[in-house]
Amino acid sequence: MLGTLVRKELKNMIAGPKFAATFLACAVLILLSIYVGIVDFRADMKQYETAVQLEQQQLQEQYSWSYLATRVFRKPDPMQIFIGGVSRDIGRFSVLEQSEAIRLTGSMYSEDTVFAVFRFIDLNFIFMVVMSLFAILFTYDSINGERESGTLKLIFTNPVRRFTYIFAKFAGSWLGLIIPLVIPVLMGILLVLVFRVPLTADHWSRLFLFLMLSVLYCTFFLALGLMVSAMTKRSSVSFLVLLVSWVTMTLIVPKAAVMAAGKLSPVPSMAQIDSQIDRFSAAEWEKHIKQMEDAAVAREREMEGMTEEEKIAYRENNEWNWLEENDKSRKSIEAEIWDNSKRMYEELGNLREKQERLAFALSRLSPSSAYKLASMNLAGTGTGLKERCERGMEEYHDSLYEFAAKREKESPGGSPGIMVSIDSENGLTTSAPRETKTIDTSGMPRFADEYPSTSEVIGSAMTDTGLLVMYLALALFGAVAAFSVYDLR
Amino acid sequence: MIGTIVKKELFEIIGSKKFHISFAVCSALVMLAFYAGIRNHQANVERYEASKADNLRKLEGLKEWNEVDNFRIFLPPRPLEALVSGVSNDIGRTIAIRRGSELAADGSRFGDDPVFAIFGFLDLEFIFQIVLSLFAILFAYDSVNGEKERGTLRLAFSNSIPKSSYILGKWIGSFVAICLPLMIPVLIGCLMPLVLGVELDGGEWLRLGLVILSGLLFFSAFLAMSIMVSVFTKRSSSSFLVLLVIWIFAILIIPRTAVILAARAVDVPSVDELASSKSSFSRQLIMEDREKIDGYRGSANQDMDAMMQEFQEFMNSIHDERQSKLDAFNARLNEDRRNRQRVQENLGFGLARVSPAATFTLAATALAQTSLGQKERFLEEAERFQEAYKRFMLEKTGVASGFRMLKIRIGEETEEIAAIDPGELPGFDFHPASAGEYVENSMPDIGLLLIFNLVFFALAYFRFLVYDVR
Repeated sequence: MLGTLVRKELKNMIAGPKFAATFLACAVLILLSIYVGIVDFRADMKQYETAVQLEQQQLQEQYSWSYLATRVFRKPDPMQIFIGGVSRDIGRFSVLEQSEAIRLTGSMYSEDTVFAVFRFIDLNFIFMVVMSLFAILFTYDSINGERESGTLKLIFTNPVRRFTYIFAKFAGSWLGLIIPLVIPVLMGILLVLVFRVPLTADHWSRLFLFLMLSVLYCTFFLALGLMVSAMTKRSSVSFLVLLVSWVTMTLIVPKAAVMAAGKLSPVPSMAQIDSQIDRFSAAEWEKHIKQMEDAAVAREREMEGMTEEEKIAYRENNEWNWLEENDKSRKSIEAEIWDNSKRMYEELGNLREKQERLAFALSRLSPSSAYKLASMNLAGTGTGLKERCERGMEEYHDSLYEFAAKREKESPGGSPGIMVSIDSENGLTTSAPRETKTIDTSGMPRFADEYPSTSEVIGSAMTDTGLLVMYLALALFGAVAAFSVYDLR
Repeated sequence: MIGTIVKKELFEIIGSKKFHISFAVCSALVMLAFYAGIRNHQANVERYEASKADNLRKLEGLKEWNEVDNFRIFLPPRPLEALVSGVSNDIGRTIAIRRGSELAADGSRFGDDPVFAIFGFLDLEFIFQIVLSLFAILFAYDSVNGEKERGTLRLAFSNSIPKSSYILGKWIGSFVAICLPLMIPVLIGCLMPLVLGVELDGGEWLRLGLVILSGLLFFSAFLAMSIMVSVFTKRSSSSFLVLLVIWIFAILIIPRTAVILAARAVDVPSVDELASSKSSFSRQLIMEDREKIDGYRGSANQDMDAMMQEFQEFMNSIHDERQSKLDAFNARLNEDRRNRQRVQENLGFGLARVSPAATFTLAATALAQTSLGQKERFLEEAERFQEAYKRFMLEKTGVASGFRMLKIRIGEETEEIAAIDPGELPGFDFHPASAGEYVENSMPDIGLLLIFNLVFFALAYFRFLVYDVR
């Protein structure tokens, strides 16, 4: 009996215009999004590689390890093809300087703002917004529509159990929705292979999990449609109710939740923190100058009572030590500024995390947000991406400057500053040493972005996946319960 | 006659459950969008003021103007931005002003706080574009073929009604039935800035009014299109599906595809490439200058201040020379990139305008000054400010470049130097373009929306003239 019912349902679906429309829209959207994603990823990759190369060249043109300044770039990850997350919103690189805090800047959307006007569509968005709408369209009239057309009464003249019937309805429409999805997705995967997107086994498994998650999400909307259809008498009413819930779940709740969290748990702006950091460093530099002055006075005092010739000899003897002392003082100030900036950013990060937790907790009222959060966690393109990247760059910062210090000891370069001396005999003289030797960057550590392992990723997506399963179970239970008392006439 | 049809359509819609539900949803959404937008704006103003204050506070206690580094200006938030956010959260909103270096905006809202980028903000443009267009479809997808299916079409034409008045009555009736009630939450929303204490100037009211007007035009274009599809298809269920597919194309597919096609057609060099050639050139110039500095010999036997003065003049002159070379070089690169970008934008947006949804977005963002132009405007204003800043600094420090001298005084009486007063720094006033300019920029798109209305309706009209009402 069940088989017959499922077959009937499926045949009904496939023959109808609904299926054709869904199929058309799905195929175009999914293929377009994957194709665009690939093209875009390749462009990002090219940009990244050029940038890294140019930076390397610039480094090789530098003269001294002492004032090393460079930029590190975030490597694009192919998962962004399917789940863009915030990868285009957060910066692509950070400036690396001894005392400058790590901070991702130069997001793709801020640099090439033309793309921000309409944004991109990824598979994640298609499932979240479009496929859920189609899922509703498939089941909004599955029960009350049959009642309206009188076929419901007819079917139950046969010995059919209500549970069997509703299960067949569910299974039939599920197949009807999944078929138009699977074909373009498979074609999209073919595109990925044709374009030789560098996907590792890890990526494939995450992609597979993401697709499973998406199916789960669409299933929820099917079940929801079934439930509302079993709770209402007329299909026009159930459609409206479902449309309103769709708008609320996919569009309103997530946005409103985040905005509410922004209000309830405010975070100071980056600019404010930067100003505080600047203020701290200005005070530190002031201290540095004072130290240098004191040191100079002390040195002058050591030379008290010497003749002019003795003074010159003494100076020449000690010049190098003095320079080293000055440099050490500068380095220690820089280290202190760096530590302070790191601390300030960490505090900001904590506040931000609190805000995020609140925002996500509120938004999880909607299955759509739970779905989006879970898939971003799977892809590693959520808000955690920024945090993770910046931490990685901080570690790189430390190892790079350690390396630079070591190299500097081996082959000290001159300071790029200009020395201006005024004395009563020679007047004002300058010296701007001309270094001709550029630094040797061989063996310099390279920045490698570390992506979390699959097991870690799955762990972080677990909560939301569990929540989605729960929502689905609720909807299914509601559908069965409502239909068991449904007035068939 | 047409009055009767409009009235009939009006009562039919207003009396329906469909209307009650969608009206409730739309009202709630519109008011929420206004409320959230205004609150968001207030939060933005707070952040803006705090950032500005901290930016000045960090200069307190500095002893010399030369120590001022990383002085920042900020793009002030405007209330309309929160209602039609456009790219306002994507563009950098602060610029560090230095004397020599090139200006670049950073600190975009979404880049700094990506949590907001995940789902985006709820704004008026979004409600009009996504929700209202969906409701337009919902109300008009069966306006003709539905009547036929129910048999009421035949009934209506048993009276002596010209077909033309019937179809026009349908359009006007459904438009009035939905838009008139919708004006209530919109008006309440417009009152919210006043109640919540946010001031809009006359130009902003005008622009807000035009945003709402273009929203209505967009809505009526979708309504006309739904009627058109309803006339062209036999069954209401199929017209609904066709419209849904069109909706997805108009809102999701066409705008994005257009921009992507334009990106493929017009090649724009990346910022990294530009930055790299700029910094190579600048380094080369600096190296050349170092030689000049190394060879500097001042005239001796003068008093200290005079020597210093002479040296500073020398430094200023080479700095000016270097800077003008660098500026010319950078300007050429920037202009080239900017021109290519413009071509790309024009092509992308031109193609996107095939979709009424994209046209509406472009009109609304142009009106709310949250379009791409805002980014340029901020940079232009910042460049103007940089000139004032340079003049100020030259006056205060005597040196043109931003180089910092570590002055170590030996054997001198160290007198207490008074701290600088950061309040003396010139203030940055962002001058947006005049309201008239924004209105002018949005006019082509508003006109296009009008054309969409006419075309869709004309198609529906002519098709209906030969429609079989049986």
